[in-house]
Amino acid sequence: MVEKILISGNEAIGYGAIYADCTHYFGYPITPQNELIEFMAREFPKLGRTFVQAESEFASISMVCGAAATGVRAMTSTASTAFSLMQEGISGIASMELPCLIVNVQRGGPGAGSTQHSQMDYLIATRGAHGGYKNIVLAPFSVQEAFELTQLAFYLADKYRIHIILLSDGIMGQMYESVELKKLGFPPLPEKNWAVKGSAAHNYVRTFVHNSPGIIGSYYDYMKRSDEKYTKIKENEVRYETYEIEDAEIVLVSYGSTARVSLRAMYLARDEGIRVGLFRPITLWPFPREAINKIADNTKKFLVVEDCMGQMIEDVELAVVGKARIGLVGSMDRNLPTGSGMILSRKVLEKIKDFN
Amino acid sequence: MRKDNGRTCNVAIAGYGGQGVLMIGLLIARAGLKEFNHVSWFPTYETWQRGGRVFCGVVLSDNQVISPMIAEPQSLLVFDEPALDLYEGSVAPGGLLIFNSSMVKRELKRNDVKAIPIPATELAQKMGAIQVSNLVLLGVYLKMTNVIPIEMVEKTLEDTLRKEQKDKLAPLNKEALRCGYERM
Repeated sequence: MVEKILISGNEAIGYGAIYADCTHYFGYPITPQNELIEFMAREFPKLGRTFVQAESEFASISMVCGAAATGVRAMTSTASTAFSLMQEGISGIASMELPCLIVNVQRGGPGAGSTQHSQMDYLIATRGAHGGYKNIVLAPFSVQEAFELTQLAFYLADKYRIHIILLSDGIMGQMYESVELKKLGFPPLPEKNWAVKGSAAHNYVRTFVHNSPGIIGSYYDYMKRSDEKYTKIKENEVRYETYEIEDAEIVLVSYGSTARVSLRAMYLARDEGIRVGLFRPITLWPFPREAINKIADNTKKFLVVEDCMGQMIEDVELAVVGKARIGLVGSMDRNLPTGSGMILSRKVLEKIKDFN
Repeated sequence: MRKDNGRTCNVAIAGYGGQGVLMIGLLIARAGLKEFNHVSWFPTYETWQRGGRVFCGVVLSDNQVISPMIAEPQSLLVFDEPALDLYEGSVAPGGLLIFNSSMVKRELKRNDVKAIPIPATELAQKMGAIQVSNLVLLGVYLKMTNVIPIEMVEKTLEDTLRKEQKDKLAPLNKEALRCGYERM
């Protein structure tokens, strides 16, 4: 048997950062991500890496920006309310085209919301703040995947010079699963000859990282470069997983912790003779539009399962282009009226049967 | 369910904050790591360290765990009456329901589960500390299901206490575990 350890989804991201040779963590505590910042506070200094608890989340993201501009692998982590607080910093990072990782462990919103899980930040994570930039959004559905996608995130960030958002949630973050710790291998990356490393670096060729497109080159140059970058990412980096899709009459679409619930619902439905499949996006941006569009040629019912009032469903609607009908199992279908309420498998099964 | 070869066992544990509900679940999960390829532990608790509802579910499987959020446990350990009220209905038909009869005073509503009343709080008190009532119930669970050898759980218990620098508590903890185990 392979050796495994039992850790939380939050800690798995910490391990992923260590294995990805991330050297700088700047953050601020907030439930339900605290197991991650505590892990970093404990482990990074042991490895001689930098851990800073900043005075706020805006300070955290600003520090990530500064560090990433010097070419190091830097990250932060937070949850919903404070993810909003970081948005101006993230837009700045986007304009500077800095690679870095931002982890959002979703909690209930809006406002202070609840301290427990939700999937209510899908739109803000995939659409971003002002300025219309794009970023890759990765969504793990198991603790093992959280560990592995974190390593992938740092690779993709450096490959494209883009910030990555890892979208988790309170359930994913605080549940424990067995994990095999292994370092993933990636193709070699070019030198960061754009990074600000002191005047003697790059053979005294001056580098300039700035947040106003048009200071060096024109505004149009920035737009063209971004457009090419996003096109390349859309063509090469879409990731998703499908379960029992081939003969499905209803396809569930779900990510993260609700994808586990949906997976179980799928098996329960199959036990009763209903042909249900599951489509699980792993990149929420770029969204697997073409893959879903193709499935809609044969399957005419999609049931989106997400713990919010309907956000990913908009992307599914765009992907399906009217070829199929779409339903929603959302937060209104939770089992309890409190913040602890969850969407459970039997409820999804009930909605599958009611979907006519 | 999914057609694969291999065992899948699950257990749910419920009580109030401070009774050691989560600790028992973690013990089973950690001990299970040596026996099973895939293990999950899912906690849910309220914003209190003492009091408030606490629940955790553990899945031990030879194959990838479908969903850690178990809703129909094969076995349920109940520490107090509100936990019974919340979760009695969820136990799978024919499942095991071990409950702390020191704190559960009402009749069970289910007649299709194997119900085992254990005066865990009283037994723990006799041993010297009510805090080990959780281990008494765990011992009963291990004997009834044989899911993990008790020696493995004892070792995990020792390792956990050592890591927390509470070695002195090991004898009492192990006594409580054996008390439940040998009672059945």
